[in-house]
Amino acid sequence: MPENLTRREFIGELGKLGAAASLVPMVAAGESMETKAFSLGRPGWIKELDEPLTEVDWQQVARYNERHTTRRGFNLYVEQERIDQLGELSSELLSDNLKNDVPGYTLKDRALQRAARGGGASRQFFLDPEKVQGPDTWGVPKWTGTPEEASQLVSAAMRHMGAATVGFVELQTETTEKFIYSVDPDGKELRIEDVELPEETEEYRVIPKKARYAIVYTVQMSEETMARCPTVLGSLTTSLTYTRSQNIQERAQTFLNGLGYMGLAESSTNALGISPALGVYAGLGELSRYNRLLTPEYGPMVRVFKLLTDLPLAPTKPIDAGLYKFCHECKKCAEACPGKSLSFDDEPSWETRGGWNNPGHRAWFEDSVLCRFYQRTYTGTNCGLCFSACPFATKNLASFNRVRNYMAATVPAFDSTFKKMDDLLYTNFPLEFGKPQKDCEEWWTLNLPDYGIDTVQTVRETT
Amino acid sequence: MFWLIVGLVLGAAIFWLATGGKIKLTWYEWVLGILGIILILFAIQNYGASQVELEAKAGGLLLLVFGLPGLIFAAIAGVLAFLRGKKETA
Repeated sequence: MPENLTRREFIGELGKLGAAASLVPMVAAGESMETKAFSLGRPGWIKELDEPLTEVDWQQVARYNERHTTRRGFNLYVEQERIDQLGELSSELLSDNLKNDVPGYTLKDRALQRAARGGGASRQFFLDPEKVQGPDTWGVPKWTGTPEEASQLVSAAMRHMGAATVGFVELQTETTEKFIYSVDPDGKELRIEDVELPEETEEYRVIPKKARYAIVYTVQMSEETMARCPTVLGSLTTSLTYTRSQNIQERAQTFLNGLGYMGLAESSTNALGISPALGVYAGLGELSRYNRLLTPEYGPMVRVFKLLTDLPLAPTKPIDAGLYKFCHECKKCAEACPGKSLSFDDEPSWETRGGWNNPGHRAWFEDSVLCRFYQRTYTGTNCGLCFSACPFATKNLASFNRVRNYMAATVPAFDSTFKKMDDLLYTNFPLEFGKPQKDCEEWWTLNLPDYGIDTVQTVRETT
Repeated sequence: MFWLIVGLVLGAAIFWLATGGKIKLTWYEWVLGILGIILILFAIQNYGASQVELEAKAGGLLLLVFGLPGLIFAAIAGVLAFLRGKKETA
């Protein structure tokens, strides 16, 4: 310790000695000083795991071409002539339902859905949206802190911008990096290279290797609106959630740039990487029977989004909230699926159903072609019945649903009982197959909260 | 506020029964009574919350499924205590 110290300097030096002394036991015990995981502050009965319950064989996983999904590559699985016929059927159905004032398809429903999808400023960029003011322009160094502090910072910022839950995955070359698409929806190749700066050309996008951290976030959908699917009105909440995510994405990029780091995001809807897989690894939920992310807070009522950054972030861990196990017993989404595209198998499988599935993990793979056939032939819009039929697609104000959430996580033996109780409590009898669970006209008279969602829900779960 | 009032009323009633009341409850009357009250409160909470959730059918069924057994348990406890008290005074 230097001599001739002031009192303040002396106390400061003592602090340094104390910090060094506190590290001695850790080193002696052989503990590494690796980045600690960041916790979402959930109830104790939601267990954090080192690996998710969904089994993955990384040798069989390869970076997936997004244009092989049925969203973009329907013509890989169905002849173009048939696709054109389906398109005509879909348009006719929408037109007839509009003219006949079919509930959920009326002029007001169409107008609102169009407004949700296309109204307002909705922009998406892979690279930073514009030359953002940041540390350079303000004459200060870029933000620095521990990865845990960075995760806390990003989580707080993004939730304030509209994200429901925020998690983080550190990409590893041989494993989780494979969740980044090889080709984006617009056909541009996604290259991961050892370069300093990202780049975008007419043919490809370059992700610098140092952008190792995936920020994965959910945006809530409205249960009450989704209960009106499969109609134009029911699909409104999906459209609105996508446009809200675009707003959150651009703000998140601007925030990261402001701190002095890069934010590489989805260039268009469902771009950049596989959302459910990243969501599972970020611990935002578990993989479900309908082969999408099922969350402990909102059930299936979320959409999942992601961006990449070079800001070092503490990862969040995969979870076991009993949801994946519940799906083994439940099968309610498969029962409600009018397109017969979901699996009734007791156990998930390594066998995919087609090129639209990416192999290498054990899941209840869906038949996406059947799903799209049904949508285009009978709904003219998104379906969503698998989402709305899920027993976890409930609001959690009633204590019964909180007891169910707890029991699902701790005593799986009661899963089938809770499924039967859900049939009794929340399913309309007789179940009108392929029809909305709730009255579409009534929706217009409900005094729903902002965006039709309960934004206090996560706060309640984390306090 | 509703739950605060419910808590105060229940607390006062239990305090009175445990200390100053004329009726002394047996252990099984306490068990039945408290179980009944818990079920009734659970039913009321679920009913009210289900109305807010716009799930009227679920609310009604939860009220019936948990409230009815709760009422039966509480009634049995009350009747047993009343009959015993009557017998003792006779």
